Amino acid sequence: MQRVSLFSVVLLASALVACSGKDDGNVDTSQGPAGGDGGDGGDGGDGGDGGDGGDGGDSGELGGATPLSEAGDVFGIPNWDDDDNDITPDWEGLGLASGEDDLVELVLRADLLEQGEFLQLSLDGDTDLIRIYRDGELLLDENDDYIALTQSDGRQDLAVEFGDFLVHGTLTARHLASNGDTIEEQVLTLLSTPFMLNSHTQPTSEVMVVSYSYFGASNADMIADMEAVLGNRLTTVNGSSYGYDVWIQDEFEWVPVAGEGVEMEFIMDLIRNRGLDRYAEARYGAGVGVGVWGSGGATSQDYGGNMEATPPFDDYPFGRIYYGDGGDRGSRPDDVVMDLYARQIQEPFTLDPSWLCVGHVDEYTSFLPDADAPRGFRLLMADTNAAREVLEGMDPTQQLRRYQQDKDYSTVGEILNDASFWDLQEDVQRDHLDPDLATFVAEMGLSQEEIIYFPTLFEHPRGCGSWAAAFIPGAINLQIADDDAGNTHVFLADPFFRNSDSTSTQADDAMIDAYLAVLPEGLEYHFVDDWDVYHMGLGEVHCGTNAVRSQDDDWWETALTAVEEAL
Amino acid sequence: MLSILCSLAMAGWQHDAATGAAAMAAASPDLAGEVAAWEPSTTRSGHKRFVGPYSHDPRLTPLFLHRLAEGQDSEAVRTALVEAVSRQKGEGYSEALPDLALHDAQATVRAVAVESLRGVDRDVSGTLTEALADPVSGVREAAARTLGRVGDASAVPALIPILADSSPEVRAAAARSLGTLRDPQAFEALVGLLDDEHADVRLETLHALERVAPADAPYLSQLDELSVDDDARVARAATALMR
Repeated sequence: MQRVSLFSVVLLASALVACSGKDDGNVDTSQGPAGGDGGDGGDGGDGGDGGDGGDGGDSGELGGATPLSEAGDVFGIPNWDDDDNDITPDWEGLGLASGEDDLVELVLRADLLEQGEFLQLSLDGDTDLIRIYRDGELLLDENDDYIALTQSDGRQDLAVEFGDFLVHGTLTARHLASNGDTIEEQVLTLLSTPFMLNSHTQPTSEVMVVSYSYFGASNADMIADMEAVLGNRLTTVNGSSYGYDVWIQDEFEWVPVAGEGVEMEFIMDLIRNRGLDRYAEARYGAGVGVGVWGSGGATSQDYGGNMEATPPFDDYPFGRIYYGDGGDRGSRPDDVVMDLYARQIQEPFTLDPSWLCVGHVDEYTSFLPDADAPRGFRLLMADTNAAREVLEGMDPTQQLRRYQQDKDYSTVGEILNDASFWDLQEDVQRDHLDPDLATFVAEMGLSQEEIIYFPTLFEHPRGCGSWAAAFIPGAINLQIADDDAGNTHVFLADPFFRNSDSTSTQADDAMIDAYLAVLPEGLEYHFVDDWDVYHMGLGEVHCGTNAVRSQDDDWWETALTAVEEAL
Repeated sequence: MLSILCSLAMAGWQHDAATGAAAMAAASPDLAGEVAAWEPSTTRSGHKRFVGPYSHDPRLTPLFLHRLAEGQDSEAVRTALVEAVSRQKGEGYSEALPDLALHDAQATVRAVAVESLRGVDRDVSGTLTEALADPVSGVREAAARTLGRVGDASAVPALIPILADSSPEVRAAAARSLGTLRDPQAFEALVGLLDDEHADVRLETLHALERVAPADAPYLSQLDELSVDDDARVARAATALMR
């Protein structure tokens, strides 16, 4: 076996003669011709490969097996984790990392070559981002025109490494007779996973939440409620280690990264520069990769809560990304999302959350799985009219203790009688919610049956100027997670639309009743207390959690056409 | 001696807050000490806010007001103190908020104090009207918006001239409040704002006109042009109004 440099532009036949000086130093030293100047490098009759010779003897048992019959297309992943814990992404390290497990295997049966025949391998495409190894040593990369294998090289258990998302190359394997005639040729596709965001409807393996306890405000009850359901699937991040930055949804996105026989957890670390900034680095290591996109300073427009993905539908086997475009509201060019667009197969569309104080799409939209829905999911869309109906159906003297404490309203009647409050709801509905719902309908072809009009009200919180935020804790800002038994749970903010004293429970809450009346059956709903730590901080359950999800389908099986179109 | 002179120079609410804080410190020294050092949380949008049961506990109002009077905290923290005081509604808050709204040196403190006047159980229209002349547009905007939220129709004559404010945010807020107050005397002034160069102003004006004059607004001659406005929200609102 020889490696041939880019500067050796020769025909194969002559190369087989000339390549002898290009020994990569990794080959079996018993290959005499490779190390010398012999013109018969293909003779291969070295005793050192006796074992391989034995393999060659298997050819009769393999029936129609050929040197190329076990080779197939390669679907891999970017090798951006740190299997050897040297703080350097494995792709950027020298040689293969110890413990490396992110390369895709590829088998070439050089042992099935006849004496004098050759296998010529050449790499094309994104060659700067593809490396092929044999026995842990580099065999072929951008520096090589091709390599040639003979029978004496034996069975080749190769491993393919990718240096990025959506890397595309080809490995051309030619089975050549001793006279240079082609006996068989196979062009193998080498492709790494496209960049994708997860949808809420995908299975979860882990949910994260940041603990908070400071001056009487605590999320301990919420964490306990979630832990009771999710057990070890809930990871509680110590808030004191991260400046009590509870907004873990915004800090990063978990990205599904899988190839044929390989997978890793991957964090898309977002430019945010707040307490959780170091969390991704803390998770980084063997089996967990981290990447950063975008440039410039932190902007809320590029936070995780403002980038979501629809469930799979129609021609989008992995759904579509939707994100909030803040327009000219102090946002910079959407570096992150534009970079995503260049990489992904989830053709994005935009909403306009610029009317919100935080300004994220997860404040008024979500998706839930529903086996009874036409396409297996339903869109939850915030709806102020639905909320008003709930209030109008309540006793106007109903006391609302939490709202009295923090919102200037003591009763349902006081809310109903506030003209400016309802002017705001009307304007939010027609200027923002209805147009964005129309966008969902147009981009996803949603039918009315697929839409849940979710009761939601907004306010102008003090300190937010003319921008709005959820008035009732935004239950639509929810988190979906699976337990060990495979049951799917939904965690939503308790609206506390009741007196909340010792004699009043969630069973007495008209808003919870209204939610449950429209939410799909088959899911288990949990209304958790997020009032102090999250709601009063202008976020809710989704903002305060993050989830590792896996994909139901393999992209190379179900989305190859879409991926190839994205190249 | 200096501190005594300073105390004598304090406004009433500041003196009362100092007295109340001292009493609290004597009665509950640990709590008073902790409140003095309490740092607000960072909201999802990045600004500061006090959260939790103590943040709306009226017993702590003197301590919060005392911190405001001392002026040792950052502007962001002082703004959060004002916001919390407006929820606590403890002793002295209704005297402090109007003074902070008009006289505090920090603009965001004034702006949040102005917004907080809505919850004060006394006539605040005079203070809000005065705040319409604040040199900082964010404060004027808060005053214009809060006048509508307070729901005092007597504010209409004060709001109409604000439709000519140099800041589009202030003009939009004034238009919005005039719509909420639903006083027909604002109709002509609002119509004059339909060709404002800023889309947010045109949008708020359309909504205000619909509320001020629901019978006449659909026949405004400007609606044809606005129905094809470059801003989709304005175009939608004009089209809807014509129907």
